[in-house]
Amino acid sequence: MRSNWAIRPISMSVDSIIKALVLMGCIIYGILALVVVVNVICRFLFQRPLKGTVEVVEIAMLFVAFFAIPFAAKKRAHITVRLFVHRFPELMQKIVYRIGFLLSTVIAGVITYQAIVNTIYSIRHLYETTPVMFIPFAPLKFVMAFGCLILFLVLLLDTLHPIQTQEEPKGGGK
Amino acid sequence: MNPVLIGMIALAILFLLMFFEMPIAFAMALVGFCGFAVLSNFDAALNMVGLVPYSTSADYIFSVLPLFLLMGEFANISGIMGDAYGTIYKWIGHLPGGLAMATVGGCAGFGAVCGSSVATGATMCRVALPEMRKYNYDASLATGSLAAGGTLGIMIPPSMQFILYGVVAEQSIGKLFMAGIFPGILLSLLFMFAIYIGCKRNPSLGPASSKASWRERLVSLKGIWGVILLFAIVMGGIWGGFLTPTEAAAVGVFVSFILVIVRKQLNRKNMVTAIIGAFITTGMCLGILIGAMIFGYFVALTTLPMALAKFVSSLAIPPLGILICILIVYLILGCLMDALAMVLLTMPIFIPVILALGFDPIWFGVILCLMCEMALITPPVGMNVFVISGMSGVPMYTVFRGIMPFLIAMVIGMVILIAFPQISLWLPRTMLGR
Repeated sequence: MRSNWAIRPISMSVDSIIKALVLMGCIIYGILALVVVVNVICRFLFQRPLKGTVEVVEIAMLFVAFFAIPFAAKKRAHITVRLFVHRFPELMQKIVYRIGFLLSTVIAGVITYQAIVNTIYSIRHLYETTPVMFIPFAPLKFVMAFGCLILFLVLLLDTLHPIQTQEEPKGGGK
Repeated sequence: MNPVLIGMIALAILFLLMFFEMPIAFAMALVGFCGFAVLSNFDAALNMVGLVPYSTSADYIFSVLPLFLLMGEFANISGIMGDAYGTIYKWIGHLPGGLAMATVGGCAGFGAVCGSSVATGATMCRVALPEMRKYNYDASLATGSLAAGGTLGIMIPPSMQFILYGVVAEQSIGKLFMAGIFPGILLSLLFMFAIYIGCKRNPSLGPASSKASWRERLVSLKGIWGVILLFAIVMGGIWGGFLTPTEAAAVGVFVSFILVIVRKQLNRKNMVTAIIGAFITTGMCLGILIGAMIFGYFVALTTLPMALAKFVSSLAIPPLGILICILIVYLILGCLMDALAMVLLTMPIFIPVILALGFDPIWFGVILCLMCEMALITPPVGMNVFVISGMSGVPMYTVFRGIMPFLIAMVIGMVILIAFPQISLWLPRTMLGR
């Protein structure tokens, strides 16, 4: 495909960003578990729960979610129903997958747009903070916007990239 | 246009998109967004899709999901499963079909520390299949017991299905966990009984292996301490009211990590496998959860669930008849789609109906979980069957043939659970920390 030369650098950049997100996400994942365990220990041993545990967990969840979702999309782990399409002729399969990716890209784009709008709003209203630890919402909204943007790019690249039939969506039902 | 009609058209479009292999998470979000825009306005829909992903992911309750996933991954790499299987094998391996029964027992044991059916089936496949092959077990029985036994992972707590059902149906996850224990044991026994009957009728299906001495059996008991310890801390903590499900999951992560260290399985490869595995499944689950939440907002706006509940309540059919109709819908859906997606897709619609009919939502959660178990092994889309067939190299048809006795056992289990709801509801009612 001639379009490969244009897609490749973007694809490589997205890959690098995702690697960094996975590393950070996994560290935060560990912190999430640790904070809850420390809270339980403090409560049982010292009768004093860790202040702000719920808030820290919620913030950690935000990071984990919006770093993990693009990674799952990159690995094509999002669940799909495999029923008919793999029986279609190859060209038809490619068209169907591309339409699916395009529609996914559209909704990811819409969410990204609104997340960016919300981030800008939060930056303008920095006095709006979380109730216990007084963390401004703006950086948290930014995390969501950034995660959604990466998801959007992953899906966009999947739409633009020539689809190989052996790279069909696998689904990851559990 | 009538909102209910819009809801029904949207559902049809959603199914169309799903059957054309669009990822379910994005399909639900797209249909939810477009439907919301049609029923209210574009700006309101934009606001909704901006807020829902944030509020869904930054929610303390949802943190239970990644934590239990991580606990399951650590338990997996710690190798406690292999030892637990060895213990059960020593006790019942000499019976006709004993190895397949031990496989089911092993799956139940692993289900007690892992909330994923696919992970349970896949792990047991690595441990149990070589043994069953060594003793010339019939391929359909061997793989069928693995695929069906794996489904116990979502019935015996901790269970991803219960977590997601609890979140979407706004029910106590702790109570749901407790409600799954006895039905999980019942199903395990029914599966073992099905194997026993099959092998009694046709001994070549599962020849008996050598009998272990009583001394060997007693010594082997030390192999299950890891599973018992983890299950007792996590479920005991929830049952006793000492820990919330999120705290129990985090403590479970800690204990299972200690088990990894004690059993000398702590190395870079194992840790990367465990954490990345849990991380990617978290991304998949939260993606579909966000999609389901967006779709749920739209469904609520259509008033479709309320209209359906009103319609169903007015029917001259007893509630049990309606429940059976709902279960048939789940059976059909389960044949076509993933169990997780099935729960998240249908809950916003069916839960008002279940409540209107006067059924206990905790009990229904167990029944739904059993339907999800069936969904995992029924053709043409049976995730457990795909995994076991892929790992074992046994043709899909052979595995599907092997699950037939287990499907019958599941139907019997369903009848028992419907006839005796107290099997599910007794333990949640005894919880100390309600």
